[in-house]
Amino acid sequence: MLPPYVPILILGGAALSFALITLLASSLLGKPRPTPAKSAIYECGVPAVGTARERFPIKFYLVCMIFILLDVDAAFLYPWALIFRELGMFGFIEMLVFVGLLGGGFVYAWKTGALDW
Amino acid sequence: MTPPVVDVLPAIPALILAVTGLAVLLAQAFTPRGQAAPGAPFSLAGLLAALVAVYLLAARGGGDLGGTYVVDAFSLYFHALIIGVGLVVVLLSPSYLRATGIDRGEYYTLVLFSLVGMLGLVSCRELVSLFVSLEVMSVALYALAGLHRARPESQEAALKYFITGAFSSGFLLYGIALLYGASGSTSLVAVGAALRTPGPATAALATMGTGLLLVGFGFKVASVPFHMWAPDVYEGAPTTITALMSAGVKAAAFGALLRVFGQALPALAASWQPAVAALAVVTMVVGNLGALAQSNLKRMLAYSSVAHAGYLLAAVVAAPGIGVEAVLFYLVAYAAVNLGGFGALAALARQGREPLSLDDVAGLASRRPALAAALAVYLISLTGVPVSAGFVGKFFLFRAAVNAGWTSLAVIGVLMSVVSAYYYLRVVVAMYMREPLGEDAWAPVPPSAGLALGLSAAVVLALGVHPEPVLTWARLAARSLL
Repeated sequence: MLPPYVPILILGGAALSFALITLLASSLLGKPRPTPAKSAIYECGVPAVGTARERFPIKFYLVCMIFILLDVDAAFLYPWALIFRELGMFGFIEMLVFVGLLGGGFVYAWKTGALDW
Repeated sequence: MTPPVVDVLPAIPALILAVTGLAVLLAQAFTPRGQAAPGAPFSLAGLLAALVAVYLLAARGGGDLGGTYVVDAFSLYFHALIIGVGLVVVLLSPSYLRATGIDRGEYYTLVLFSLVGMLGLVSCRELVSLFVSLEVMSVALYALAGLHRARPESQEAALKYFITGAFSSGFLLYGIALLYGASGSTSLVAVGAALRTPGPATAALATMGTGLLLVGFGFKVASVPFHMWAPDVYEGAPTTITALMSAGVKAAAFGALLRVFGQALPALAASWQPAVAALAVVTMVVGNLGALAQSNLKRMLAYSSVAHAGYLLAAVVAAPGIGVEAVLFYLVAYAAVNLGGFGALAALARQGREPLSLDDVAGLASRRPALAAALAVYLISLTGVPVSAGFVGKFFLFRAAVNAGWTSLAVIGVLMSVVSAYYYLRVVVAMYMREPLGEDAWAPVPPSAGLALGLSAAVVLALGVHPEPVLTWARLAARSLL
């Protein structure tokens, strides 16, 4: 009787050797013939227009952060709505506290001009 | 499914602080640009209300919020200490913020939020809530450390604190995961019960988890070899925030350490005691020797705070027995002294500058006699000279170590205290025995900061002469942990 983890080890070894053998075989057997199309970043996609390491306004970060807050808020409202009746008043108050806290943050962000573009 | 019945009363002090923080934040949002909302009076009112709530809770005998957030004598003791630290920091802040040009309402909001985290840290009897509290405290402090946005040192402090803090949170979380794996629970009581009768695999997991927890807490209390962030962060952060970090964070982290190791891990004491003892020794030695080499007063006090983590760890080794009350008592003495020390530097700040070198404080006794006297009291207490809180506190710490059979720790502690006399008293000598250099560049001591410094000095002297009341309370708190 094999210990229970041995099959997983064998599978891992097989996966690793498949990847290694494929890479090795293609570099030994194939001949590299690079063309501009083949060495593009996305061989079958839209042509790249420039480097990805560009500077862009820090405003994006702010908007992203505020969006994540809203996102979490919404994601949490759905399951709450589903069991709203069971939770009753307790759940309602808890959710008011949660939304109230996030709302305070939004008011702060809005009033301090985080949303002015 | 019936909704849980939750007794929210135990969380009232923390809730008051959180609501006050939110109110200050909104007040700042509705204040015209370029002006500061009146954050300090708001925060003082909130802190005093929270203190009253703590008193009422104590009269009621504490409480329990679903088994995760517990207000027993231990957390009440820390509640009073942490709120006291908050009061002193808020009293010190307005003049310092104006002098350094960072007077914004958000400062007070972040201070209050980090205090909320500290209150949670000492009250949580469940590892995940404990971790959340730790993050609430730390995230606010990362931002506070970088509040001097124009100063490169402050940016460096914020980044270093954030990176090492996040790293240490990782260690702590991994430790929590392993303990959960070993015991099947994150409740401290259940973990403690499960580890009393461990199987061979469980014991190995639990030992590894304990080690990782120790690393995580080691970062937070700034013990060697996890201390390298402390001098840079303490130096770069606004000085009032340095006071908050050295007094409040250390107290809260030690509170959590004592609770976790005392309630969940006493069964593994034989394996963590030698590790804590080793940490204590290197922390005492490296902290004190490092402080010897500093010429910047803030860095000197930072290394001194590392060294004091070592003295405290020496008593944590004896924790399941008498060590706890010694640590609790010393944390009060230490908080008062550090608030005073950093507060004295902050009180003198003028036009973005504050005294940082021995030359800056030379002859201070002739120009600011009261402030120099208070600073001398703090430094003497840090050294551990009799009739100061530091002496009584160190006496209890080392006695706990000796009684638990770790005499060598006490010997190293006493020897290192002698070494520390050199760098502490050097400042006193500069203030009293040297002539002032040049013009008087420092601000007159503002009344609110004077009140805060006077309070700290009074606590230091009172505890040195008459330690019984606080000691009785510490004993009571320590007993509630067992």
